Amino acid sequence: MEKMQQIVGRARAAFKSGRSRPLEFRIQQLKALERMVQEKEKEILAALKADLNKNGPNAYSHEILGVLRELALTMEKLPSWAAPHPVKKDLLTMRDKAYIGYEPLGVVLVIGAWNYPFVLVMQPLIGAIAAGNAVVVKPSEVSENTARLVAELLPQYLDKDLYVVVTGGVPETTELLTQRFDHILYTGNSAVGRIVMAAAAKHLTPVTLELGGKSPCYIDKDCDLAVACRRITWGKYMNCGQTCIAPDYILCDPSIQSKVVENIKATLKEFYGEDVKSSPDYERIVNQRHFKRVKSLLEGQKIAYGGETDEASCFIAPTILTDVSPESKVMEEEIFGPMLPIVTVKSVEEAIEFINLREKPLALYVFSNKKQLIRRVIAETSSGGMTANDVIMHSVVPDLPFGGVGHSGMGAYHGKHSFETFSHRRACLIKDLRWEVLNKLRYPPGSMEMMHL
Amino acid sequence: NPYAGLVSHLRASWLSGKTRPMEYRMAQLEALGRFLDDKKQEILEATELDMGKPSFEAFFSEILLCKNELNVTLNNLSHWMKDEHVDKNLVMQLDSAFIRKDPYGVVLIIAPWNYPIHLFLVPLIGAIAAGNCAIIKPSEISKNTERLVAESLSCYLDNDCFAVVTGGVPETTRLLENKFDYIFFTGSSPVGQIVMTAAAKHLTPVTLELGGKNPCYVSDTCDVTNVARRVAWGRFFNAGQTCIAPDYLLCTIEMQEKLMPALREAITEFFGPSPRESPDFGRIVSDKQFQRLRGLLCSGRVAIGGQTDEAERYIAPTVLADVLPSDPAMQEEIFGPILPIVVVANMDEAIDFINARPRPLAVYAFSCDSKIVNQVLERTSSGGFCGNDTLMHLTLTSLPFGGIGNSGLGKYHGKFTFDTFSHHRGCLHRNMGLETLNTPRYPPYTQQKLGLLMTTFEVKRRGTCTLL
Repeated sequence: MEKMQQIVGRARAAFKSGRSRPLEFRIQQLKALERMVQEKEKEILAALKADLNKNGPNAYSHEILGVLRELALTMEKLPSWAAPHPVKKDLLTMRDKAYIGYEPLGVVLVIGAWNYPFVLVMQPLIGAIAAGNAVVVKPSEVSENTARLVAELLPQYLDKDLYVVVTGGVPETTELLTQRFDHILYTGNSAVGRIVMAAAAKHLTPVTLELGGKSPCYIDKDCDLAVACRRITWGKYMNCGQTCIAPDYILCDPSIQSKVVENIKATLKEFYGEDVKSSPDYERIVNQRHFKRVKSLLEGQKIAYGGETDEASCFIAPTILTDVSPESKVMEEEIFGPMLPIVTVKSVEEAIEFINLREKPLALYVFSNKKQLIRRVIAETSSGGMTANDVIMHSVVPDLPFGGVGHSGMGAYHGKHSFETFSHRRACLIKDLRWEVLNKLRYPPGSMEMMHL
Repeated sequence: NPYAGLVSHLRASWLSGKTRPMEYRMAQLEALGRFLDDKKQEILEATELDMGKPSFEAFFSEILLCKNELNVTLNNLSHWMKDEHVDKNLVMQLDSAFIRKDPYGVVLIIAPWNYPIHLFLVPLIGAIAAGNCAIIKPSEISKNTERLVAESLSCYLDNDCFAVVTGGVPETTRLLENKFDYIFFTGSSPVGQIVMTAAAKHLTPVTLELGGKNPCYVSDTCDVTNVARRVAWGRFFNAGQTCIAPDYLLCTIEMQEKLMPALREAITEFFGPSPRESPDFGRIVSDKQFQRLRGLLCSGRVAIGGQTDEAERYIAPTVLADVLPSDPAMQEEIFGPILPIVVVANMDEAIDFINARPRPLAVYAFSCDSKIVNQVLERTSSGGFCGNDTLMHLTLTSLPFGGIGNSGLGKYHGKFTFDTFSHHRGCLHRNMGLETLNTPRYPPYTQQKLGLLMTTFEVKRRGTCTLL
């Protein structure tokens, strides 16, 4: 394995050559990426199946579809995104050219995560390429098949020096982080997020941290419970709960708790059949370590449904826990598994207070027929993003920024926001060398009367 | 943790929600305006004591520019605060998709000594406008202004939500142990690193407005008189203690020769034959800075100025000719009234010189030929760029002000300050009905459902899908 310094050095030299700057080049690289996704679809789906037991249509819709959409959007909009933006001028600058120029940052580092291993390296990569940067991609070693595939495929389709894949685990990533980058986008957990930011601080490198947290889901008494529970079930148990914006836990009135359980149970049967373990659509926990971690969260809990596990296949059944105590282990850390605790609260005030006592989550969900209540929940809480009356979906609106706040992260991307994240917005003011008379107002010897003009 | 009490008091105020209504924010901003009006004289006096800041300059940078920012914010706040609605696809036509601007919470603003009011006040305007509570940490080096701010700001702003903390390095270090929801730092790059490292412990986002050596290229085709005036103005404003001052000049040996008398004339025009007696020329802020600057004078040869007076911390407006890249004046950001000229053969050499060095806060280029100005702009990278003038890009509130690489990260001024201190929250408010539209996304997953999904998501380029 080549030393990180040489890899990054080569990417930097490639960037300095200037070839990633013309729009034609960037679009050509994006087109190549698009071809890669289309031509190697089978291989990509096979890797996702091997890593997470995702089946074809599932993996396609959750990973490939999003990537193709992002590519199409980016290629279409890039000329308008990259164009200089003229700005409003004032009296002193009336005769001048004033605009914001979008420039590449240089060499960016994208560190992916294992739960959506393809889209979480591809989507940032698309934005970084579009903004004219060189990119070093470090896929998660936990989703090793996808990591290996990305490392094989990218050099077959893209400029080999500008866009590099580095594989490996903690030691390799640590070494990589000692190098100087011009932006780092990291997706993962808060603990490692701190390490990434501290490493970035040594080089004054700006960072985008896409972290996690416990995304709360408040269900109001006044709502279509059947619909709400179907949508929640979908978002909670997809990818076996291993989704950063999955509804982590439910807050609801005790009087509807059993109805919520019944509705989710019914939906689970609808989705996965009577024997969830044999459903081709239900995934597995990614590895033994996470299996053990998620399983341990069951301890001492009232299991209203599910709870079956099988260590050999890293299977954990879709599980619902009721009357969960806020102090229990399952309410301390992000679950990232198919366990749905229900914590009862007597009112929306109590729910809001509960949420605000905790770290700001990546996503927040509220289900209600009452627009006023929804508006209130949005206004009185903070979160990376949120969806009312559904889950997950704010992350697929291309023009919404996707990112966290507080412990759930900083910065955002997706669509235009990716382009802006990976660009430097340079203030440009071009004046004329004539018209000096206007400048005399500001030169010494100063006079207070001059100021009042 | 000596500041824990203060921080938690502000956090409690924040959680009470009182900073969120627009009326509250406008009232606090208006109070800031009254602070500037009422304390104008005190500000001019304090900054004069701190660094001999000429009244004209102090009025311009500490009062006028601040009032501009205040007015832009007051005039536009309701518009900035509104939810930004975004485009939706077919399936979401009945839904509402928008970006909500949420305040972060309790923010920390650390200001330097060179524009001691401006550099805490302009960030504070954005912090208040965005609905946050704030702790302001002015620089202890500009101690008269520090005292003024610590004593009077509390008479204008809500003390439950805004506080001033004074002190030096030990106090700032302790302050940084606390968790803030945003940190805005203006100062040097080494301290910027310390601030970001401290912020990393709490996953606190930061804006760092740092510095560097801002190059100024002067081409052979230019109006020498006007160039000299504009460069001299930018260099000697505040006795050179400006983060975006032209730090050094790059030009041919012929241009150096032409510029020298023009620079001499501009300096005389501005400050008279004896700048030490001019009320319009400042002083160095501290003995430490004075000693440091005096040490840089042995670079190249002194062509203009060079006189110093330790008691007054006076350094004459100075131009050094034939400076070498290895000279002391070229090793660090000057931050004083000394302008080194480094001779280059041509524009290409100037651009290579600039690109071989860390990216600065500003790049300047002077030429009557707009193609040359554009070349320098396009082939270099910097926080901001100004063609045919110095400093002025800072005064336009519609332009973002910030660095890149070693000169900083993030940006502010005008709406950019408001955006800096806001969390842009992606919100989707969906309809509970039309559940049938959601069916394609639910398990059991089938090819047919996938086909439907692809249609609704309007993927324009369909590849060869082996599944269908």
